[in-house]
Amino acid sequence: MTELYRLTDEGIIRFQEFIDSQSTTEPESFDLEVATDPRYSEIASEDCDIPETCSFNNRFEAASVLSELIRNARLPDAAHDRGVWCWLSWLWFESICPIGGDGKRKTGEPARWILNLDYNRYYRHILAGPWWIYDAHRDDPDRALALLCTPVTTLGELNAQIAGRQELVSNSGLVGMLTKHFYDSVTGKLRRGISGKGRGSARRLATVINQLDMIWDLYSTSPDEFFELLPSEFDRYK
Amino acid sequence: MLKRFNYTKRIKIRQESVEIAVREVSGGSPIATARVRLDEYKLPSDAEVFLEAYRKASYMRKKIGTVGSLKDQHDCILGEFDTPEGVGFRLKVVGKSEDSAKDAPLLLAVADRIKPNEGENEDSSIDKKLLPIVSADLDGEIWRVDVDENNDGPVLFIDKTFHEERSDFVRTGWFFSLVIPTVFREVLKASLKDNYRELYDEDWKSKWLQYSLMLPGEDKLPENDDQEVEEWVNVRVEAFCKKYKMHERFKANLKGRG
Repeated sequence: MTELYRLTDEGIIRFQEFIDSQSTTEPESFDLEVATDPRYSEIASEDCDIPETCSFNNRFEAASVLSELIRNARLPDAAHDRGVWCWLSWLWFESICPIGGDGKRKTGEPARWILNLDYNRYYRHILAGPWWIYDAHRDDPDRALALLCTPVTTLGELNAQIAGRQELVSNSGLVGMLTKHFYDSVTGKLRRGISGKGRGSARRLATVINQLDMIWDLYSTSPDEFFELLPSEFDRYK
Repeated sequence: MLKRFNYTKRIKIRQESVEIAVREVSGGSPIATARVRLDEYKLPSDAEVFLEAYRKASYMRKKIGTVGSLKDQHDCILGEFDTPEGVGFRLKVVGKSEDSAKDAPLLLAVADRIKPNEGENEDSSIDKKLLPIVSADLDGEIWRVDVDENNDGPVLFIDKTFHEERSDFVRTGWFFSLVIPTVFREVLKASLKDNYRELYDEDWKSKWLQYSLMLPGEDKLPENDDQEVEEWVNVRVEAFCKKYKMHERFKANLKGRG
């Protein structure tokens, strides 16, 4: 597909109604035609190369493809172009959210599909969320693997704690430290324990960061310096 | 009240030492102009000075120099913010720790929750510094008051559909008489939460409580009793409504004159 569209306001309402219907007893059937129906969409950019389906192994792969797509589309303000992100999630909806064995789709909260521009909800969008993190670390995207290693459909506790705050998610020292110590490059997954609730978990990490922020200038702290500041409960991630 | 420790002898920079003005730029991002005076704080001249801007989860920062090399004023393009409303600022002075085994950069001094200078809002009863009005995507709602109890205080969000006219919109008789008293009530309740009764702190709760006592009829805060708090808030909201003639504003709108 070579044309990138954006859903119009009517298109976004149509999408919202579709999502809402999925939790009812009569879920609406998915209609891909909406993506190019002039009642619901308009062309945002031409001469693009857009995959027909979303078949990425993880959020990092998705973000990488989206980064190139968005760069080539030359959108003036891609991060806030809600219609484009809604259109992309409509285009790939069937491959991201197929009908399950029980005959239903598990859509989750609307913010996964309908982009909410509040930064503390932005990260929840299934496509804009990973792209935003990738773009914040475009000088070295591998630095953000800890936040992008999960499947496209899975946000994870670490993202929930970190990605909703721009001063954290754009902090290269913090994000680099997360990837160096909490990500397993052999398995391509987060190390065990970080997703839990107890000591050494992502939740505890968020609390500790808030405390450290009162003493240290975390934004100019290197990954190694950052890890050195963490209490001993995180030693197992050395 | 939580007891706070300051083992690293971090210096608190007074609000008067940091003046910030923000101006809108047609077709571009707002620009902040900062005037910073740090002479009185005995900070090392090679310590770096950073200005941070934030609004809820949005954030950006810029190094404006070292303590010894600060200019009279510094302009910062607020590229992360489409409008200047509700943007708060923080100034950080950063250096090396002399007696710590850690290598991380230490906060030597901080000025937090700096609100930019701006003209008084003549037509509105509540100063913009107390209640910034910010456009946001409210997903169907027209307005929402968000009280962030731990940080920067309340913000009145207006759906982005009304972005251009948000200041006028808030001053209309309908909105002002029906919504603003509710906002006032909610913010006062949040200010008094957890037995907070400080009138002379620099935080937002203290400023709102001061504001409420400037209205006629009360000169002290309520005791720590739920019923007394509720009655006190009711009386303050009534005083607010009388002072700003909410009945008259509402009636004028009913007759199509507002």
